[in-house]
Amino acid sequence: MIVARPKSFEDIKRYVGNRKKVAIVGCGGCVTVRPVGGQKQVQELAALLRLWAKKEALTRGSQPLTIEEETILRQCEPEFINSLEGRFKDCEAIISLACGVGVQCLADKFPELEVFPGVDAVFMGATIEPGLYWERCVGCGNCIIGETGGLCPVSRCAKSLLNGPCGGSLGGHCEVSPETPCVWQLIYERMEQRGNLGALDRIMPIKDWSVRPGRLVLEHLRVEKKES
Amino acid sequence: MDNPNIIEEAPCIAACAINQDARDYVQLIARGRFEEAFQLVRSKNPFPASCGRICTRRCEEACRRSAVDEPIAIAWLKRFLADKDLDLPQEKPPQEYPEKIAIIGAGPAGLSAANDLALMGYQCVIFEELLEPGGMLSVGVPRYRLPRQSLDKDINETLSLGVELRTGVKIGKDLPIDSLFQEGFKAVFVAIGAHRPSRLNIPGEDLPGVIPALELFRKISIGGGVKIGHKVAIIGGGDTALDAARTALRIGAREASLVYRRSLEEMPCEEEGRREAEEEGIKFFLLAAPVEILGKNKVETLKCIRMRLGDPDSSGRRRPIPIPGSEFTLEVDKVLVAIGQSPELDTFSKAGIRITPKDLIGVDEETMATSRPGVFAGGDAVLVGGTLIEAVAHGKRAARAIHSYLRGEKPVMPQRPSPLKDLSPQRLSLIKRTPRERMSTLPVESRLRDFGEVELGYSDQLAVAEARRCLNCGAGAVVDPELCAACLTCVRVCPYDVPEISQEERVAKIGPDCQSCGICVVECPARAITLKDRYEDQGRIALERALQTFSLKDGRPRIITFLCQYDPHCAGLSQVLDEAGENVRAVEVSCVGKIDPLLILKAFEMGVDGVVVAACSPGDCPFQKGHSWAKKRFDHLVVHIAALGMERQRLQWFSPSPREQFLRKLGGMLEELKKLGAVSSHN
Ligand SMILES: Cc1cc2nc3c(=O)[nH]c(=O)nc-3n(C[C@H](O)[C@H](O)[C@H](O)COP(=O)(O)OP(=O)(O)OC[C@H]3O[C@@H](n4cnc5c(N)ncnc54)[C@H](O)[C@@H]3O)c2cc1C
Ligand code: SF4
Ligand code: SF4
Ligand code: SF4
Repeated sequence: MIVARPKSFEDIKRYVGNRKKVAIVGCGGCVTVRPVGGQKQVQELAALLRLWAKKEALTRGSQPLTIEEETILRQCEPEFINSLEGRFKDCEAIISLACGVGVQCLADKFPELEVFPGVDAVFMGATIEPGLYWERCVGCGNCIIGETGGLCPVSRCAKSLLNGPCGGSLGGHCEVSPETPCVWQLIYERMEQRGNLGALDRIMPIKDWSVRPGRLVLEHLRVEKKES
Repeated sequence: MDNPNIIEEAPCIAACAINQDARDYVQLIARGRFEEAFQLVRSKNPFPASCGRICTRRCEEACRRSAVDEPIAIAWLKRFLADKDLDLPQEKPPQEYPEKIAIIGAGPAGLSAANDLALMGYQCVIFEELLEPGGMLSVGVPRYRLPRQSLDKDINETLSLGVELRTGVKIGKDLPIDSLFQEGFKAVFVAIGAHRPSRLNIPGEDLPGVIPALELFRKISIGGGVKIGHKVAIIGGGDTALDAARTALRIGAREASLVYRRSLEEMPCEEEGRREAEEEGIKFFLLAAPVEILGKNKVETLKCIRMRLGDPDSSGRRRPIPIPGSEFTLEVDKVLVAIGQSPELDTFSKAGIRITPKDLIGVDEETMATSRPGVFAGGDAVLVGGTLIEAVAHGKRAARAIHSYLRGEKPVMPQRPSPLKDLSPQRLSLIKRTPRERMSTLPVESRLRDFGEVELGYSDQLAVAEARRCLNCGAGAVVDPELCAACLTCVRVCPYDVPEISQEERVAKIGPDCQSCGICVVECPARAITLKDRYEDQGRIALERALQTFSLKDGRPRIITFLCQYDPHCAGLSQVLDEAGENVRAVEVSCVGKIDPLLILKAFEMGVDGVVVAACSPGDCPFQKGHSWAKKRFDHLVVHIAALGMERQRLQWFSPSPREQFLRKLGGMLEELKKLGAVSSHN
């Protein structure tokens, strides 16, 4: 899932500025599960902002701040985004607590409004333990995990080496950050455990990094548009 | 019990014959809301002071806390409420219906029926053979267990609803039952109890000095003197036998020996009463049965035989079998017989009411209707070995059925809820052990001097402490499956490992072992969890109220202090703050782990200048983890508060103990806030 971290309050304050009314929209997907952008966080951010506006009444030109609070099931799906039709009429801006995907979908839906990100999506990752997440995939478009013992060197090696390790692998750790295990060491160990070290002798060909932006068509999932 | 969110009930509620809302009134006591608690009790039970003392307490037997340490003292808590003498008059409806109802017998069954019928708007007349109302509670149960004034309190509450009581009238002797209908009564409830003592059927039973225990009780209760002699034997093993033995000691006997044919485990009596009897020096001859009573002109010797236990009989208890040649004798001055009693039924069988082979009035168990239309019966008259609460239940059921009968409707009886299953074994070690709060008892020496009540009652503080032990079974957290994102947060934060997300269900499920700590409720990012308990709102209403009490003329600074209700150091603190004359208000929460940071922000939003959280010490949290969650959220909130430019001093975490230190810190905070001024005027 996508892992995100809340933006600093400084950023959010700047987004709100002297506006009288804004909306905060949460997402019931990844950011609820890795809890930074669910209904709870929407309510908390709204309360903090109201308090801030109250405190800054003078600098904000005695503008009271009204906030619309909403959380939709997933901000990356048109059906759910469309359910917001007609909402936020007198809002001057929207703060989305979804990942960048959601923020953009929201911005497309409300082109006349400024839409700001309330969180920074940092990576696609796993929960290691509650509150600790680690990147596990970069969406490179050509998965090689089958050849690397079920461990992704693209996301987990600081240099995304396809034929590692580099000379900076030290006692199982990465030279870039000693807290990071060297994924190539892990790959080696797993292959050894499987008795398949020979597979590592094969040189991995250069990947095609050129496909950006990603666009995915799955023909079998497409639904014909109804004539209207 | 009436909470529509709750399908399976707390076993304490399910076990009670009237499904008294034990959990709910206990939870109210835990929150110091005594009046509401008493109102709740009284709304279902017209005998709170009596039940609080002598009820057989099926609720406590069923209490899930037993598996952790000891059951909640549910009955003592009820007694505590009743003894507070809260003046909460019941809403007396206008006379709504024209039909008059006759009730025969002013015991708990008859009075309960009268109570409920009066509240429905019927006029009731109770006919009572004796000069006093109360039935066996008055002429049976001894005063040291149920003082007259407590019983009277219960009875007067019912009579004050306009129920008419005619004492000294025996239906069948003074007034035939048919004349009741001729007099214009449209329905009759027969609640005559069981007042004919069962006989031993052994030689010598009619010798002077052999008396039924019931006769002894009755004489004492009407103030007659009884010569008991020095040595008394009591036959029987139930509460009546124990009461007879203990009564004998109180009226001058030196030695009281109880002869019972089974062993201690089979004794059909209350544990507490037996322990108290042992303390008072009653001798127990167990596995022994009387075979003959000997004496010249009066009883002198009781001949008994030893018994052994065979296979279980129809009652499920093991059948006692005499051991040949094991006879022994006891020298005695009196023999008190307490082996049961049955109702006097001649009048009623003559009036065409079906009598069962067990010599009871035959009734439909649901509606208490007898074979004669318009005649209903309940209590000891229809039940062998009945109890107070069963009599109350019958009275209440009969009241409903009589109403339906008179209105020509089909009777709708309340559904009996099924009990929640036991706490699962893996939970037991996660729940903090807290022993029951003991009630003090009269010292043995002074007990035997008179009929003073042996158990002395709870203070407010003890009652609250005891009530807080309740696990709030069945009223814990519930997940709205529409909102749940299966994020696993609740699964991870619960100190008791209650929430589960299965592959099949795909949303979180919170089972009946939830302890209502509220941690998951606050943490759920989807706001999918709420507490079913209707008395628990995690401080919201209390905050609302506190904010309302700040009036415009009040000076500044204004401080809201969140107090942990579970911490004994917080007890009484709220008054201290109120009386301090400053604008500091307390918001009591049953564990600070239930406080949503939003609530603190709300307080600031509503214009308070500072917020204090006063929590117990980390090791004292009844929910183990409530304290640490509260602290973690607090620290996080401090960062946010700073980020929005508010002064750090406005949000404080103070330990409530020692109190002087707490008050000193609070004083310091007030000074600082005075300098800082209000949140909004700052720029
Ligand atoms: C010694 C003793 C100790 C007990 N201890 C406990 C205890 O600890 N806990 C517990 O739960 N239960 C206890 N019980 C049982 C409890 O008291 C009874 O189950 C309960 O009182 C039954 O209520 P009732 O209304 O059916 O009958 P009763 O209480 O017997 O009331 C019946 C009333 O009807 C009157 N009456 C009878 N016939 C007529 C008539 N023909 N006309 C007019 N009036 C009539 C009687 O005088 C009496 O007042 C005890 C009983 C005894 C004897
Ligand atoms: S712990 Fe409380 S709710 Fe649970 S059975 Fe006991 S008294 Fe009832
Ligand atoms: S914390 Fe809330 S959203 Fe997450 S699994 Fe539990 S109930 Fe569902
Ligand atoms: S309220 Fe407390 S005990 Fe109940 S499920 Fe939530 S965290 Fe667990």
